[in-house]
Amino acid sequence: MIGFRMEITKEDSLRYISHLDYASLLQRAIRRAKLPAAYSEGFNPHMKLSFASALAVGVTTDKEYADLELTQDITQPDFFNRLSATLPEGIRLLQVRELSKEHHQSLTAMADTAVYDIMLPEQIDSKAVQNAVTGFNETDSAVVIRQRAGRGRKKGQILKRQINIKDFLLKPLEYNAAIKIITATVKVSSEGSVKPIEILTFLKENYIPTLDPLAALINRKKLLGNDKNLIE
Amino acid sequence: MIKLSPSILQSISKPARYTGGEVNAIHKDLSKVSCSFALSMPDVYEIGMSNLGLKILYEILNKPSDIVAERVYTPWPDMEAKMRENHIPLYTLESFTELNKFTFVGFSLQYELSYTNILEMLDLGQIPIFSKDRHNADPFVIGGGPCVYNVEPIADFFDFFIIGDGEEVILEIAAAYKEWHAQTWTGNRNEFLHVVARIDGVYVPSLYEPKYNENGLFKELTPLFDNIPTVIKKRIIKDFDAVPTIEKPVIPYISVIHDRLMLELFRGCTRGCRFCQAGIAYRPVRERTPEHLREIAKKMIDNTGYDEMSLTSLSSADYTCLPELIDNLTTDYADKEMNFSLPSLRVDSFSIDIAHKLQTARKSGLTFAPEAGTQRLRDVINKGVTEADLYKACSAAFKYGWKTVKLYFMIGLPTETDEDIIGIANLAENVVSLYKKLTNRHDIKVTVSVSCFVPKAFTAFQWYPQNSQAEFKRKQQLLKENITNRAIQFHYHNSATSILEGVIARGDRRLAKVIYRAYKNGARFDGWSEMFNFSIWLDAFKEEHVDMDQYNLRTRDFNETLPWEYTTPGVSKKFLQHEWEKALNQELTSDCRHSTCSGCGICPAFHVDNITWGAR
Repeated sequence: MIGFRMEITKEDSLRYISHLDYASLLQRAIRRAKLPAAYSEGFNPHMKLSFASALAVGVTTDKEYADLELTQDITQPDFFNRLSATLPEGIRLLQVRELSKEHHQSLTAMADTAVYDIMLPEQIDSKAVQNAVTGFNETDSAVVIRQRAGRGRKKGQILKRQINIKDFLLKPLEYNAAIKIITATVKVSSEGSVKPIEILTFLKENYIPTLDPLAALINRKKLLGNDKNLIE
Repeated sequence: MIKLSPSILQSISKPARYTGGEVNAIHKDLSKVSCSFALSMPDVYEIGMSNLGLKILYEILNKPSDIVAERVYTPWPDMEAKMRENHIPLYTLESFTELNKFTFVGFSLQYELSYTNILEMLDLGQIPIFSKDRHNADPFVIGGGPCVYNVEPIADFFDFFIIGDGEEVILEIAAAYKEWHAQTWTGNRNEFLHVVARIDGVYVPSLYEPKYNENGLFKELTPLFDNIPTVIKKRIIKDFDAVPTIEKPVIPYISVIHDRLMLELFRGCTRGCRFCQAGIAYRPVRERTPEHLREIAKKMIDNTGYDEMSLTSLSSADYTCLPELIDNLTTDYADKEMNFSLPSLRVDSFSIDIAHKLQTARKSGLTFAPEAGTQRLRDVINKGVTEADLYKACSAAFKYGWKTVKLYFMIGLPTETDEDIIGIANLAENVVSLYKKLTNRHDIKVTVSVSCFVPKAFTAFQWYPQNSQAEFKRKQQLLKENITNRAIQFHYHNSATSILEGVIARGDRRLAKVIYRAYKNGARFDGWSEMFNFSIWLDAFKEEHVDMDQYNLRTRDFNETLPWEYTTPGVSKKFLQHEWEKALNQELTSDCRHSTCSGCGICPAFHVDNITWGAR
């Protein structure tokens, strides 16, 4: 297999688009760059482009990873330059690495840790946040209810699930009062993960009633596998 | 410049509808242009971004460096609530400029049920809803698009309308504004309205006065000044191949209704279906050359990276160079994962061969529009499709492996009897049997989709009374009872929506207060079934003492002056009346592209002719 791994961004101007729309944005840029992308077979062929994660609407990232399969060999600089030229505002290509011809591990299988920066609104009381973070770090369990609309046979129902945030936190929360940023280091696995907004909801419900979780700006700073970023 | 807080954007559905910045969007400094347009289709982003006309005007207006055009759509009610709560005025998606800072705000009028959204957008944009209340600093509110062939119901909300093809006249309006703006002493907006009223194809409703008879019927519309036209004829692009079109469309950030490129093959349709307003409004047929289309297609694909392109026209299979064009496109894009599709298929095997060649309709199934259930009624409407045509087309499709067929019909057509309704069920039944006979299999799905006929201005049926809601419901029930085969799925439209559309489609200026009242009482997105509330409208008619039945249930007299006759596509009234008489006798009128002139009067009125390239 011929292909490249990309390290890309999803910046503020693309904050509010969904993962699916982000993916088609990248696909169209790849088509404009006329890269020899490989497609699946069948009546509805799709580009062989895979991502490490699916970022939620409202979340930006400094480090997203995607693999693109190609039908012909091209050089790494050629790939980098052509794609950089057609990427829209809000996606930057940071690094590109040619994938080894032999089997390589998929991005989703590699990723085990995500580091989020959660920037709180300007007017928030830093002392209250500091106390909340300390309190949170000292408790043993932090349970939130995750709700989602049922699909298929369960359409019309609201499905509820209990999530213990602590099961997914790899480190205590850190708070930098000077820039009003909470940093959360979260475990990523096939059993799911916790969303930064759920951490905020827990803080609001238990410590800071005035906190509006929707007003925070969330950025995924890193996505790691075995303590290394996924392109190394 | 408007700034939106994350807490607003995070709390609404699909926030990317409101954040702009899409690929190919054009950003200019508004302080450095001589006039600015906010272009809109009064519906939600996903619908508005699919509109062909606005895409064309967006590129044409943005070509000159001293003009800017930006986009704005109707906020969904969740966003409307947030904007009102936080005092955020409606803004455009490029520069986040408030709507009331623009020179012109242009609305594409696609269907009557979007009118309350226009009022909503003006109000959110802090522009007075009634044109008479606007001040010199307010924008000029312009309307264009298919509904201009009866704009009287919304005339009070607009400063002026553009009748017909907009590509040339929009630049004439911009030029007139620049000239006027440079020399005006007063800046009085009425001066400018007098200027544009003299441009061909522009209708300034405030310069005309409607009069009514004592019995409440419309009498006439008279110009208030000597130097403006009594009747406004549509604009028409004579050399369609030469007029600029879309090359670099804005790519929406979220998937939209028609999330594909649109290649406009030709404008106009002369098939002559008697119910069809577009078939009169866009005459004559003007084709682009296949060579030019091939170039445009390349530019659009290179500029966007889209993998799907629709070959768009009123009836694309009628394009006389279609096989050549498709051969060229499929050669150019072989192995490039590019799909081409036809939005509508003719009921014949030629269309099926094309669809098979393009191999795009496989998943979604094929759609045909026989429109009526019996040959008699299809002859009344001049549909020119026989039952044999349908079976031939279906046989061809089944042989290629299709097993999903969608059939479109209308109920409430003139002269319709219960036999015609039951004929719809029979036709569908026969398609199912045909499949079983040809394939020896049972896995066919036929969807019968039935809409309620709305008589439209400038058609042969413009004098005809619409069915009552009770009658529509009775016919829907009758058809439901006659569809017994489980392979047939039956869909029908809410008759209330069609009644309202019917009233507005042939209404006059007195409806403005009803539309305003309905808007005030909460009517929004009336074209969306989950948003439509008929009782708001019924109350609005009652409160304003306007009789709905007068507009849609009354048989109009041939001698009446109709309220819409003043903005005309150029068709002769005699022709329409003659077509009505032929309809009653089930006489067909042939397509003037391929046979003799049918005498609609449009070509001589504009010194134009059908332009086709197939027989070169």
